[in-house]
Amino acid sequence: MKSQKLQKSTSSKAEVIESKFKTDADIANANFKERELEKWVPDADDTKVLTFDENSTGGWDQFRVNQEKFGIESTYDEHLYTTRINTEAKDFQERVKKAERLANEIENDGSIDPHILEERGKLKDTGLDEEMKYSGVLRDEDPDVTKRDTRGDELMAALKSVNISDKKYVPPKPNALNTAHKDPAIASIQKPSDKKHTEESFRLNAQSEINSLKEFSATFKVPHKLPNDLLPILAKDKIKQDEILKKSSTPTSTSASSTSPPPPAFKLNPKAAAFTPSSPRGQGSPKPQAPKLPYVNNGMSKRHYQISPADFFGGFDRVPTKESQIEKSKKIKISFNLFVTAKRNTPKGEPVTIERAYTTPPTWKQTVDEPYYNLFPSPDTINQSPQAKPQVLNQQAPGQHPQAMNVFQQQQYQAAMFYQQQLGMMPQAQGMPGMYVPTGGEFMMPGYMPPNMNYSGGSPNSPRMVMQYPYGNSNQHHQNYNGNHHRRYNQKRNE
Amino acid sequence: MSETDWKSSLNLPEKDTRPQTEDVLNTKGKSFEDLGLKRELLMGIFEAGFEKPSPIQEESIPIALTGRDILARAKNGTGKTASFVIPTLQMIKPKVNKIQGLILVPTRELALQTSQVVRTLGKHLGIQCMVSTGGTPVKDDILRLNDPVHVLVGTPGRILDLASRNIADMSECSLFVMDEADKMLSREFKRTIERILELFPSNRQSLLFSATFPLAVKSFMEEHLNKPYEINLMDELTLKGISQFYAFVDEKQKLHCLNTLFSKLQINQSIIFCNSTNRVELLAKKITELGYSCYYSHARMPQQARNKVFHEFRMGKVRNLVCSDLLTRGIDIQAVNVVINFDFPKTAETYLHRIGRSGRFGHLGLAVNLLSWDDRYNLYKIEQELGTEIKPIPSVIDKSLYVAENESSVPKPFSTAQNGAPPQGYPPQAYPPQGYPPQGYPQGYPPQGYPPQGYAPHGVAPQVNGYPQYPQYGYPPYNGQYQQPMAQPQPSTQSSPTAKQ
Repeated sequence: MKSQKLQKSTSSKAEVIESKFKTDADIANANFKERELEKWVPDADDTKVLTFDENSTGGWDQFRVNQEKFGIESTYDEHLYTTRINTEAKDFQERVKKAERLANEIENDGSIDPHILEERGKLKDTGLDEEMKYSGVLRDEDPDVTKRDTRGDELMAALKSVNISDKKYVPPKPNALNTAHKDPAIASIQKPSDKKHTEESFRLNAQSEINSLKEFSATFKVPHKLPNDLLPILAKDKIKQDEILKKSSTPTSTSASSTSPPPPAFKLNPKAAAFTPSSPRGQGSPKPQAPKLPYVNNGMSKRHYQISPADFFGGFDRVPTKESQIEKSKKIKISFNLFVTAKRNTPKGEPVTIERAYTTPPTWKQTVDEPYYNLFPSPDTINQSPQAKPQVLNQQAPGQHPQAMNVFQQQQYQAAMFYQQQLGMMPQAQGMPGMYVPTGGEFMMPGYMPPNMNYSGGSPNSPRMVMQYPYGNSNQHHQNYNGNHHRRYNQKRNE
Repeated sequence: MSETDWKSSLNLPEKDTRPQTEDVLNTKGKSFEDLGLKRELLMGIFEAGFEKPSPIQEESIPIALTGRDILARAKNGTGKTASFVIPTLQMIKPKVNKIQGLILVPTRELALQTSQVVRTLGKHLGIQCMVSTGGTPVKDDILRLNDPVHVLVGTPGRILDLASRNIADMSECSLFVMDEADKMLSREFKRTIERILELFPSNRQSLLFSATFPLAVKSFMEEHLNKPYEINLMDELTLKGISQFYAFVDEKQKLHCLNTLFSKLQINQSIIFCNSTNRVELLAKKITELGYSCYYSHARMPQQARNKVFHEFRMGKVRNLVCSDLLTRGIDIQAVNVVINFDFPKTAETYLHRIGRSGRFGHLGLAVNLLSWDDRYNLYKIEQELGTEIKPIPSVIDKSLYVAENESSVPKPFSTAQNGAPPQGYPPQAYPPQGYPPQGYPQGYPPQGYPPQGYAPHGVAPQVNGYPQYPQYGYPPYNGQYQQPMAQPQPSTQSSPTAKQ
């Protein structure tokens, strides 16, 4: 298993070198720093003031106005762009009927893909603005989405709701989608270097920010009940404390009433499709990638009743559809069938060989059975310290039995050691090859046994390999197996 | 027809004499005849006004003709569309009445435009090209598919609906093309695309093109492309022909600033981008109130209205177009020389595609960004990501940066529209005629002695108050007579559409 993984990773490295197709970032290499922007000033004799009344709605007849004012007539004819419908055909009426039936079928087909729905005219609004819908590229594998701390989202929603009251256009803020430069070199360049700011503009800018902050603080309210223990910190005076309490308990008109309607009762849908995490193509092992949180829409917090299937499943393309479910159940039927998969994976013309299933070496230390009381701490000690959970280990809770702790620590240690083994980092230098030497010294690892203890023929320097094929412990065998496997892997890629 | 005859009998459009940049001129010197194309295809190419292949065309057409997969990037407006349309047309067999090529694009307007390029270049080949996008009745598309279709151009959702039910038969379709490939592989489209690909025969050829690739498309390449030939003709992202400026203004100054730009700049046609649909409509209304002809378009409008706006603007009937990012990618209107970002975009790829609406095919263009205080970090970020510098707008912009000497030679999508736009936006009560001198002005223009004494050079028009004096320069009062050049284009007799892309 290990060696196979290694080969995979090296071959993908080779591909990286092979494919030099550059992304935008690879091409742009210049550094432009923050700088002071030059304010635009209207010409001195240009006193006409024009503004934009954002509160009025658009919705005017552009064709009528442009025709009346500028005499523009439309000449659009779709046949300049597409083919003509042949209405002369003998069976035209039949064709129309058939087309209507099919059209109906398409329009009533259940799909939840927002793009497909939009194309059918079923979906007016996906919540994405037109930039993200038609121009921008959604960063699907943006690691920031998984790393982002979402705890502040509710607070952020409250911050936004303050702004919503006036319907003014708010220019887009740089968001996590497009600001985060992971490269520390770039990130450091992007930090404000305001030395060049002149006094004047700095003062102006600062003042406008201060004003907006003041305005904000006047209307902003934390969307939680004020904890009582905060009061003495906020104000020493009893009267002031009451004032704060009062202020926090009255609902603010802007955030609470205008924006969020009372949440509809949330019911679990018994018909909902089962959620099964699977890699999109349903083959091979899942790629090692950071665990994905449900897709978070640019820091906009969503309440549970607002979560769309796409949010829940972590992307539009992951929401199970009828077809994907059928496909999946089809796959499940055969994927676990040893014979079918063996046959499918064997190149044409070669005899089908069915591989031995993965086997693991014995994990116990010796074959002499020990009584259970030697293997486990006595039940009394466990019962006495029901709090001895791994989380509290560091705190050494008083009254906790040391031995009980030891068990947990051991287990943790084993887990850690096992992990190291998996990564191939097992310290090997603590004894002759093939000889087991306790690594920690302090405690044994009862559940674990180094793989190269039971037999001497294995490659001494690669305990990982030996662990994998305990019964055919000759180097010859390994090479065969690996070669074989590698070839098949390549072949798959070439298909 | 003898060897030499066919070329002389071509109905060639007026030669486009505008200067071009290295972005399209830096070729190895091949000609279209060197590429081994069918005679009928060459005729379509030359009649569309194409003279020499651009670098991306020169590079990709021979490779595509060998049947190999291609992943290519080249700058906005350097001829990508023709790079995949020409091999598509070359490889399609007109006598086989099956869909043989599928071209997928992200927006409906772009589908219309691409289809029109296919029809124009392939008009002597007897090839049927059909558009299929959302927003139109499915029934009509199903009816159209009763008759032979060789090339299908469309948006993924509609195509999947038709192909998955075998209404559009993909079993013989061996050519799969994606324009704006980075957008098409973005999350919202990817699954649909993969489902469409499942319907293709296994020996298909794939051609992927875009100007931007903000993310690596490695996984898609590995899964769906077969040893793609990679073409990257970009050592920088922005076009050489476009001058970029910013005007740092307060939000409420924006309209004022725009009005000043209108009066100072010599706009042939302009596209103005806003970040919300309501602002699109409001701004367009304001612009008509200021006396300039203006249409608007965004995705919430009915498709029929969108198509109408798109068509009329392409035809040069209306000078200004306010739109959302619906029309950010791919839209090719040669006459656009000014792009204004009334609202600054969020992502670098959007910025690049927006400003790429001017300066098409190596020509000159101007991009002006109205920046408010909150946009400044986006500006730095986008400059950083694109490796370009956006300078403050000078009080006078040199005309040579974006104004063509001879506007009348700017190609139009349909040959019958060759005479170009009448001086829209020129009711005398509201100066200025944008794009001064107006293109398509009757023969004899400009009048002798133009520019008149006292006329400020470099596009600085006299101040607003001085405009009523303008008719003395030879503008007859507007009486609607300039409508006549816009005859109804006949699809069967298009002779020199030139959507060069």
